[in-house]
Amino acid sequence: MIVTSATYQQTSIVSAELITRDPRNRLLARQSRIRLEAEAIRDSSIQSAGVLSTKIGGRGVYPPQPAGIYVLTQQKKAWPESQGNDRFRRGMYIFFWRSSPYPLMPTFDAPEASVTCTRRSRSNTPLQALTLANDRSFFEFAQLLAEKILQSDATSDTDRIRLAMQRTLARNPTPFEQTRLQAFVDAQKTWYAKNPQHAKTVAPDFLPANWELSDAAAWTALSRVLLNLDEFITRE
Amino acid sequence: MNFPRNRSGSPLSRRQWLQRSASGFGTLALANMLTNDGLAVDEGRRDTQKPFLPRATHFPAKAKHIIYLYMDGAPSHVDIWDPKPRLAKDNGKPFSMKIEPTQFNNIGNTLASPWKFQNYGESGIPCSDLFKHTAQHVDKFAVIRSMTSNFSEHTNANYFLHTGIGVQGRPSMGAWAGYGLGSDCANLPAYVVLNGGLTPPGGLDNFGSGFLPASYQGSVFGASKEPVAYIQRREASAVLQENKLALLKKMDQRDSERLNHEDQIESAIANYELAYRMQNFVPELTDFGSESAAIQNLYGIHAKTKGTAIYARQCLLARRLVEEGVRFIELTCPNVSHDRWDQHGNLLAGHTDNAMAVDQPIAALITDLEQRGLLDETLIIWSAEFGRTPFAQGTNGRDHNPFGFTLWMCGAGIKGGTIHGATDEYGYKAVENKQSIHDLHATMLHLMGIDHEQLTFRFSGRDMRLTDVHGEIIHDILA
Repeated sequence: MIVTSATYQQTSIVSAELITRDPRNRLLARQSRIRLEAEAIRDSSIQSAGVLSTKIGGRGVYPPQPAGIYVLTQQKKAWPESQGNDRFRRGMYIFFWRSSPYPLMPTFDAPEASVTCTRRSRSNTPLQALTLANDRSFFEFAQLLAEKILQSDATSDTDRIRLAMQRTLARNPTPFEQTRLQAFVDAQKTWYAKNPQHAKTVAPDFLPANWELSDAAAWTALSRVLLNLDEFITRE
Repeated sequence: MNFPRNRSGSPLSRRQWLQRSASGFGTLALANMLTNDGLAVDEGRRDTQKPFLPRATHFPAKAKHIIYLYMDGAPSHVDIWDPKPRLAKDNGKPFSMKIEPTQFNNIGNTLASPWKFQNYGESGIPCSDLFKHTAQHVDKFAVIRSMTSNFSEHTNANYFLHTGIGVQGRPSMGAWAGYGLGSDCANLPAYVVLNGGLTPPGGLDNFGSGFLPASYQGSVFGASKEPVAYIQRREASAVLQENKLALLKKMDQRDSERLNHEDQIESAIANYELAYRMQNFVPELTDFGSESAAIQNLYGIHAKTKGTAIYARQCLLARRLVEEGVRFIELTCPNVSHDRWDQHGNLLAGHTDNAMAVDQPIAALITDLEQRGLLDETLIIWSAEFGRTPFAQGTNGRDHNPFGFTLWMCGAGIKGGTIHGATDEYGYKAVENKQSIHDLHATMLHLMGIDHEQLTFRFSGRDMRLTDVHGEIIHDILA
């Protein structure tokens, strides 16, 4: 009922006047922009990369996490890192150790498992930026998204950029974005061509035939930008 | 006065206003004043987009920073700060007071302290030979000998000490400090934990933000090469990272313009910038190259004892964080190959090694802060979750004792050379000016300019406080 209502389907684009009159959107004259929950941020990244596992139920999974997490607990906990599709299950299936939750969770306001939660808070912190930018899992998702782009039947960079935007933001790039993204990809290609030793660690693992490593690495870089956008982690 | 929450967004609903207008226009004026100073506005809706915006205090603060020296596992107060000649007299005899159940119930005889005590400074406050360096500063200390805890087991006692309640998942005192005061530091979060190697039983929850927004959780700096998680960029070169961030910022900004500078996107942009500053700043912060050899040696950075060298780094880093404006800094202990300060056996060797690790660095920290004029605005607290029994566990250990133990505070707003409270003649139970952990928290917040009864967060149907419904400020130790 709620999601099919006209009120819910409004745009979140807002005039300056409306912001002044109703900063907290109490009167519901627009849609509110809401940052996705911890689990959903991860799920969206995996979905964009096209590898989300839709398996329902079963045992908890153990996606990669930074070393040293259990330096901070009294007892070392087992974390048998999941392989294959289990790495791409939805966030709600990630095994939850109460004393040392998967770091993404507390960083993006997932509640404590030991107290009741009536409402999740939504904070905005530099640690969130660092997580999205540098976490190994998110890097892997970007590589997989790049792989998806390279494997597509798009024949020009223009089409590839459009595909990348569709997969991440579900819209086409504006002319401005198209130009900027193309310039970025070109600059990255040039850099990686000069530094081939780095291209190998950045490019997707499974390169379709006829792709240069340096070109492929540039598409991982582009994917990372798109997956780090505020628009990407926000329900508009 | 606390104002109930309501949907209209004003501090008082019409009905409430009508109910209260009996007490005159003063109430209304007060509501307006409180709203303007930013403290009585709906705490649950505090601006989560700018979590560290410096905020007004309830009254002028003495302490801008707190350095919390957490003594993990619980040092024995009767062997350090609370000498009891009666223990020497009764040494080896059955303990003559009624004994409460202890953690292990392996009750031995009365156990004299193996250490000698001396009086230090003009105040003549006694301290055992375990803390010879730190004791040089006693004239600046308020030593509270009558602390008590509600829990005799580490995990619950740690939650109680850190969050004011003995269960998992509540906001840590450092999180409350950040929430209440914001931060003056542009490059780091408000609450930083310097991990020496040992993490308190109870884990990260001791440093958590609980029901407060995640921004306020403690950021744990490890002792490793990468002190902060995710701090190292994934890009092979700085140029590549700058290119990426420039594009990211440009696109986020376009989005922000489209949405009339929506606050949340502006914050996201700011956060990427802060994250980037942290990336550059943290390595600089942890590089002690700019510290003179004299300072490094004062702390014991190059000490042969590994534990001392680690804790020296933590203490020096703590001073540097104070200089950066970080609000709340907690130090955990290094691992000195005994089980923390938790000497259920082998008291002599265990306490000797633990004290060896922290004594010189703590003394140096106080000296250094003082000579830089920072001790006046920094509150240092040395404390554990409880104390230890004056009778033995087995033959040469001591068990947990929440009924009486010692902590000291020094620096901002503290009356130096003070001994407050007392335990009985054995040091078993606090008998004079008994203080609780809530009293400690109330006093800490008071020194930071916060009324502990006014700093609240709406959660689970009521206004939660660090001190719950307890807490008396310990006025005797205030300057």
